[in-house]
Amino acid sequence: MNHQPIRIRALLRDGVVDVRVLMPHPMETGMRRDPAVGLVPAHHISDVKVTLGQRTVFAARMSIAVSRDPVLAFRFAGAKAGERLRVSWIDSRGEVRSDDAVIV
Amino acid sequence: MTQSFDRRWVLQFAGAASLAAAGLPAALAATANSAAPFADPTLAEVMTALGISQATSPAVTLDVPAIADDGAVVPVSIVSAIPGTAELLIFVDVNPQPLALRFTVPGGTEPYLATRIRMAASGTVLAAARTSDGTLHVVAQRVQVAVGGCG
Repeated sequence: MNHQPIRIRALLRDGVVDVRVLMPHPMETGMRRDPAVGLVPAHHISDVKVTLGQRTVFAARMSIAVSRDPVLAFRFAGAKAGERLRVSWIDSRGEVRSDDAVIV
Repeated sequence: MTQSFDRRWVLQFAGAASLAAAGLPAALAATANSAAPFADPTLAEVMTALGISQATSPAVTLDVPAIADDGAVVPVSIVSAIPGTAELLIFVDVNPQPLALRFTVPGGTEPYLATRIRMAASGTVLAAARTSDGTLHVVAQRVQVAVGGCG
């Protein structure tokens, strides 16, 4: 399945980087019935990691209880404008997606 | 183009897909990716900790609406003022998989998270901050849901 790019906004204010991420993904719970195909199997992002070079600034595991097209907001210190953040996820089928953004 | 994904990180999850239906993949409970040595807390453990937390003025703030029109998209945010917060966890008591998200807080990252969760029906959202000694500090908020969000 082709997944759309992760949308990332990383703003540096007073030494803290404020990050907002949107990860397009169907996040099927496995409990939805589609009129055409019946019960739609579960398919959800299971792990997300955000790194700044070798440093991990965010790591989370998710279940089916996170909404479709998950959004995340978090904050961390110790970075400079111009540095590059990488957001990576893996889902319950083993599909992966990784996208970068520059801290502004 | 250089490999855009850390292959070792991905390989940790081989075989995890079949376990995903049981909740947070069991194979991941002790991966090197997670700094926390503890397994996922059960809802029962969180409810017990809630009783303790309420007695000790929790410094965990949970922001979630009292009424949610759409149970498929319920905004939630948590922030912990407890020093040494190692993890933030979000539970929904009425969901078939009560643990929605487990955030392992790395050094230099604030113990703050905002996201959107699904609620199967009206119920209680519980936010837990876990310190490195394993103690859960829990706050809860009842949310009334107009339309269930799981199926």
